[in-house]
Amino acid sequence: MNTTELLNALPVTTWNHLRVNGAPKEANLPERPESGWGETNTAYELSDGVRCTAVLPQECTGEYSGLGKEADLRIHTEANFSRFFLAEGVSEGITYLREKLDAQHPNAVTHTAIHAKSGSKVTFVQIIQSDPEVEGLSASLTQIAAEPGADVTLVQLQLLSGKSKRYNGVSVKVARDARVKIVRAELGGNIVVTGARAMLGKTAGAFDLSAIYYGDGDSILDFNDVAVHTGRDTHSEMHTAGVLADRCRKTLRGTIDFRRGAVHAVGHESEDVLLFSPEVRHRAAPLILCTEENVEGQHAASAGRLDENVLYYLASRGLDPQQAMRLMVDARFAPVVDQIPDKVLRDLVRASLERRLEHAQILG
Amino acid sequence: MSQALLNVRDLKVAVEEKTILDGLNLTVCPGEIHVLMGPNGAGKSTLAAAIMGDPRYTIEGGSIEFDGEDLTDKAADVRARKGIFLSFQTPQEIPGVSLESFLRTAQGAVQGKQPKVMTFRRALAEKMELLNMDAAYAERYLNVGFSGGEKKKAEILQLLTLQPKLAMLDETDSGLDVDAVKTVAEGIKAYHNENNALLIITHNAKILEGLDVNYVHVLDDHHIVYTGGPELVEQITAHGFAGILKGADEHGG
Repeated sequence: MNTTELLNALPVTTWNHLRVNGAPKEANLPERPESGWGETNTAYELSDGVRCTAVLPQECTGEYSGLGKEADLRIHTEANFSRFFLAEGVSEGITYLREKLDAQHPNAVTHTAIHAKSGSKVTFVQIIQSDPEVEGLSASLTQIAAEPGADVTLVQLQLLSGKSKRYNGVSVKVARDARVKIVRAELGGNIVVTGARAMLGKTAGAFDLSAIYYGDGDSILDFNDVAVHTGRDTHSEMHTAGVLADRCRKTLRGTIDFRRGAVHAVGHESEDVLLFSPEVRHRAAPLILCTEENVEGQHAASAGRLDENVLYYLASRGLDPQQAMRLMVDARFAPVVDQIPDKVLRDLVRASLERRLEHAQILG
Repeated sequence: MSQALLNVRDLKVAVEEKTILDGLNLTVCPGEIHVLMGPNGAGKSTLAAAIMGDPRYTIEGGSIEFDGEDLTDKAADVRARKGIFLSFQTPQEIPGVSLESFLRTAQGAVQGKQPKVMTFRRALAEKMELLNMDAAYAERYLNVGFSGGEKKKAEILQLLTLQPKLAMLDETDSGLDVDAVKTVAEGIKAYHNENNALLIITHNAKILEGLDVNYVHVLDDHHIVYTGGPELVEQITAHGFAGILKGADEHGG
């Protein structure tokens, strides 16, 4: 199946020459090979209060991810691994979903649905890894429906090799007094296209997105995160921190869409980017749409190189430029990494970053 | 006099093509405490920055020898690992890095070996107690939201942790209340011994109480114009620089 629509399309298009209307063509979702996507190397561990269901819960459908309807449909229909989860009750445990690309299983097209019943509390962690030399594909669609009062945390840790492609669509439906929180780390891959879209349709629903990314080499990173508010007193927080090195090209679209009925809704978004090279291409398209008057929307964006005064201060304490760079990257990512609810995984993320930074250079 | 720890010879320093120091000489030996005074804008902070290796300053002439090695062209991190420390007037705020984590990283960098967590924490707690610092500050991001006094205490905490051979304190007492100055002075006393040395830039005699100052230097007109003993501090505090600078002029200082 071919996709004709733009991946990660900006909800309201702007001038084409700005090149932020959608992901670049070279980042399109690859066509399925005639032989299919093959088998996956995936596994999952359920926490208490979570069970699998055979059928895709209807509650999770009807909305689409930031990637777009066509991409969602393709991942849904072409998936070589699908799991649907039903969460009931309050669980302090973690449900793990592990995916690894290797020579025998280079492609994982996965479809996950999480239906959190009323009043439930649950945490899911998706870990996406690959062997270093694999030129693989990880394309995933995660559909979340949080019923009234439910509290869902989804942690996505993408630690692919620099030769793999990554597509990550998340669609979220938030009911009254429910909350969905996504902690997202996109730290690998040569093409990364990611889009989360949350529908805040009922009173006092909340959506939090805390994200980090790291891009280097000639990689393309493309993000499209959207919070649509139609319910009263709904709240969205979308905050991203990133580091770009070498000749990496990155675009981040962040949209808060206040629609009629979203009285007293609040939405905040921000992006903070550290640039290690003058050849980096950094594009940001923060967008606040508003057809309801009584709302509060705010966006903030900052991009810059490491502050020379800070580097000197760190040097005066004995840190060489490489150590200083690592410390500053750690500092930028710490507020998100610290939200990963498992020390082993936090260490895994830090080690992955450490490896990436071994070869990083601050230029120009 | 024992072998010099710091030997600054005929130093010429410029910033943005403006000469700040010229023909400056200074020798500091282990165990000594030197005080550097002078009118505002004389170049006291520039001297400390040049010794530390601040890249904003250009060394146009002369040399900086430390512990028998010429460090004139070395970067600040190399100098720090050799044992030079500067307590900044305005320490940087670093969101995302806790004070404890920063100190551990810095100690690892200076000593070439990461300290063990529990041993480090115990030692840190003792030093924080000495400086009347709330233990909670160890978990807070470095200098973020710290009061002026807490920032200066955090600098002295770094001094006590890193145990450099030469500590330069650039107006560490400025903006501190009387009690905080006393606490900082206690920290400096705890640091000082016969193997290390201090170069203290100050306008205030209070921070020197309890310290056996060896030399007081007055910096003006791009170089050190007068050097005396500890009595000079009181003289300057009481009468200002005018008399000394006039005397230095008359003696061709």
